[in-house]
Amino acid sequence: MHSALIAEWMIGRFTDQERAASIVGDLVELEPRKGIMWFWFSIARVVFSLAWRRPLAFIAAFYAGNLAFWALTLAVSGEHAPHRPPDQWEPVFRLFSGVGFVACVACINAAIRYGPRDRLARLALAVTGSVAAVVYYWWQPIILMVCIALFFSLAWVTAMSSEYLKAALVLLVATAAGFGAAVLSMYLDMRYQQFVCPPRGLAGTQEFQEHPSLLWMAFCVWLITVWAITTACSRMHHRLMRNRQLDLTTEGRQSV
Amino acid sequence: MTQPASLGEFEQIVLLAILRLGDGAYGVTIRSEIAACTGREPAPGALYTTLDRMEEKGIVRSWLGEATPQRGGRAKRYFALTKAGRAALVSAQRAYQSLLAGLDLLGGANA
Repeated sequence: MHSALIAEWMIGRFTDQERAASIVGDLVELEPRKGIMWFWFSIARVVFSLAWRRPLAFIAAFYAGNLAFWALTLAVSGEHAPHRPPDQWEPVFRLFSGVGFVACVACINAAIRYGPRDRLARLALAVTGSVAAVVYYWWQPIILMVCIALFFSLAWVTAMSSEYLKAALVLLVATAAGFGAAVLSMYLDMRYQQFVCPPRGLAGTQEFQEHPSLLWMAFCVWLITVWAITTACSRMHHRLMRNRQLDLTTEGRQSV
Repeated sequence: MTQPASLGEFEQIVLLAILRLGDGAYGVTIRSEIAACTGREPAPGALYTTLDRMEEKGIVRSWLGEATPQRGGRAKRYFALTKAGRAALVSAQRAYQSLLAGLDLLGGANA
């Protein structure tokens, strides 16, 4: 019985408590016929099948997000960028890069965890594509106009469909969480740099070579930011977009 | 009019097992029914993730039933098809029937 509680706790990490209890209950019911080895083997298989998408989604979102961020940032403020935006517009374009990064992380995470047809994945893909098009082709009026038209169409479709409205809310919360986590982790990183290199404060290439821990801290900034975005996405997705059909009593039954 | 959801092979097997079981469709009985009809026991992980996925898609619905001492006091989770699930299953089976028409695969030399 004690081992069943452990199994329930393990499965409960990846699904809600009622589902975990019913899955373990099924396996407990079969255990006298199949044996304890079968029970634990089945628990391991259930845990694996419930959990494998999470680490894969996180790792893929982490790398894709980083790639998107650097690609967008270099287009906005890179020395060799062919079409850098005017200086007064640079903060706006930097904001776009941040939004593109969050949308890219949310898109990859949702596509792997919930499937490419998931509304959050589709909406985030549309936002990532629009942001990338604006950042790279802002100097071509026709593309800029198409992007603005696409943005308003997207807003219209989102407003018309309750499911896309929920997806937009998830993306909005993920963006807020991502920006909040990035600001907090960058502040902590800055304090650490000031602690390691007191006279100069912010570290440069030489300091990074002298203190490898600074590189690890920079890596942690990304890790925390992506973790905040993916966690916000999965929590909000679970709250808003999951079909709530698990009735807690038999009274909730209806004929099909 | 909305198109019925497309179903994979295992999803159809699970839905047919739920239909055959009627009121008594929960994890253990669904597993046994599939094993009895197909000769293969589904992996527990595959069964529960498929049921979860179909519930998310609105193809099946579930509710908690009675807890029994054999289950360590844990409630059974029963499943039934929704209208959308039944429509998706009918659509998938119609496609199979159309493909099978005129083949005589289930009778004659291949039986």
